[in-house]
Amino acid sequence: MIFDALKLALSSIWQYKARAALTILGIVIGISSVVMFMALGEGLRVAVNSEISSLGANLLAILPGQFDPSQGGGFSTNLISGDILKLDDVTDLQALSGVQDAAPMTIVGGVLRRNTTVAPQTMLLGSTPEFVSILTALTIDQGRMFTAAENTARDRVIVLGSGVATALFGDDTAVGQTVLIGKDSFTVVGVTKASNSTSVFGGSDYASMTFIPILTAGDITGGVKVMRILVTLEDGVDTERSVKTVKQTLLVRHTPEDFTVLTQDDLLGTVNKILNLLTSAVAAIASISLVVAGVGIMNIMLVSVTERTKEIGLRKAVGATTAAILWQFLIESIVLSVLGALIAVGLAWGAAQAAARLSPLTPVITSEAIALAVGVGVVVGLVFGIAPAYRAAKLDPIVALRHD
Amino acid sequence: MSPVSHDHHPIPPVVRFANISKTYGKGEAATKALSDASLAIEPGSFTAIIGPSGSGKSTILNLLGLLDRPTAGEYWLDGKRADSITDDGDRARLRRETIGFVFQQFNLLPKATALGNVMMPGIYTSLPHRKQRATSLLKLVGLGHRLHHLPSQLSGGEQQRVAIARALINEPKILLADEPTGNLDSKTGETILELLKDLNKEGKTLVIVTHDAYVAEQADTLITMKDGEVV
Repeated sequence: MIFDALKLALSSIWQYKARAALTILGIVIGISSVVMFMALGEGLRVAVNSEISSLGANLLAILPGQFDPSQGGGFSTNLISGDILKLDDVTDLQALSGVQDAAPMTIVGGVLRRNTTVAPQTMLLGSTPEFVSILTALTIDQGRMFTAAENTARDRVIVLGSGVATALFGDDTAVGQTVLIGKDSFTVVGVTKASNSTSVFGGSDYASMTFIPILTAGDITGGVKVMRILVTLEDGVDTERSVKTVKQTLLVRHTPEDFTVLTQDDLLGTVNKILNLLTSAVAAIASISLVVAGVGIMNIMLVSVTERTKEIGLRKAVGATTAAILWQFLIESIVLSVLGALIAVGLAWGAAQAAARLSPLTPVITSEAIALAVGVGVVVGLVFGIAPAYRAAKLDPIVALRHD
Repeated sequence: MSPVSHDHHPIPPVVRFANISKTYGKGEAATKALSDASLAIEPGSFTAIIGPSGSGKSTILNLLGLLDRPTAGEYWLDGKRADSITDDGDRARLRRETIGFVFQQFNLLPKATALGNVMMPGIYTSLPHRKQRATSLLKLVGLGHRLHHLPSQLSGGEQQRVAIARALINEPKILLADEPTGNLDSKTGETILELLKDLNKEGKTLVIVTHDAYVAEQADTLITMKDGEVV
């Protein structure tokens, strides 16, 4: 009986295919936009997560100022302050057992150029030699990293990001050449290479990261400012315990507490929280269109019931029960709506393929999203099909047969 | 065990109306469409119900076909008390197992083929081998070459033949035809009437509601209606 009802629904949809197509257009638009937004959100989440993971496992970041990442932000203005964290903190952390490496980081303002050629989008950082080994995504491609001795001596040496080297030197060898930061000239001692150079963050990607010794940076900017300390833990160390030890060590100099220790999990948690919120908000807005689509289905089904009054009378005369008529129209509206949902998933899939090809972001359609789309299809068909189906089922066969 | 029958008929009638009345509306506005009608239709007979419009013909047809319920009286259909069945599902079941309708307007589904139209009532009885049965019925009514035609591609007479095949698919006890020749020219009407008579000769109980004297002449039993009464 269910099989017959399904066949009946499909055949009557087929018989009125032009109208069916118009009816499901709304559903297709509504559901495909919801699925597409969810896919974009998921794609963004995957990309950001892999970006964060590529920073290297066991990475801790110490930030000036306090904020609770589990609250999703509340960023303090101290976050880029260079006066809270000190180089002595780095030395203290390096001495801790369980800590593999620790390196300070500062952002240096100023334009990097070679003669009159300016390197666009350069992220100029001051640090120590350990920095490159902490960022596992970075390796030295040509030359070498500057040394600890060069840092202590405040030598004017620089390691260029691969993108920066190409911008300034093209195919020429950069190592041994001279570049300028403002009026200060630096000797290029190395060029880095990123193991994964594509980044959804555009400007801040590894190819643009360029390093000078942090003490040299202090010289040319008027004082050493430590804006971040990056710490890697030894393999197999309990992260939670290590974070506690790191905090206790820093608290000796920093009481009351004026710093934040971020783990990768914190970072991932914060990012995922924000992205999930964003995705559901956008999907919720898009789902308003589903209500409009549902009302569309209801209207068309009501028209269909009126047009097919005589058919309903006939079916009752040949022995269809009220329930059979109710199911016939209900299943028809559910089938219509689920059909729309399936087309919508197909469209969203196509759009995801196109987006993956044309942009750095790869939208991800999860099986949950597909299940949700089909589920929404069933619910919309059911909810908005009830009234027309009930009207059809309640028709008096004598009156219906006389209808023109 | 069944009690000893004192009935004079060896075979009980397939339809029996005992003092059936039908009133539409209530109180002051009540109109009596049928009053105190009693009649019997023997199995295998050809009965014509005749009378001018407004005489209660349609009311009898609707009551007979279980599309409506009498206000008073008893309706026995195929040995079962039918007027007291209130459940929609039970009435629908009795209807589809007992009655085959043929309408003046043919009432075919416009978007379904001849075959699809004939098969349609079989859905509600979960009839096995629907397609084969529908095909042989269409051959029986002389439309073996029109199986996949839409109603719009068929003549009026052919459409009525499809409708007759449709009425037969669930092997009803009674073929109930409402002015079956009313929409056809007299020559085509005659062939349709011949087809119905042939089916009757093969044993199908035939009831035709009509105001056409020519059709009425062919019947072996006449029930004449006037002002809501059987005369």
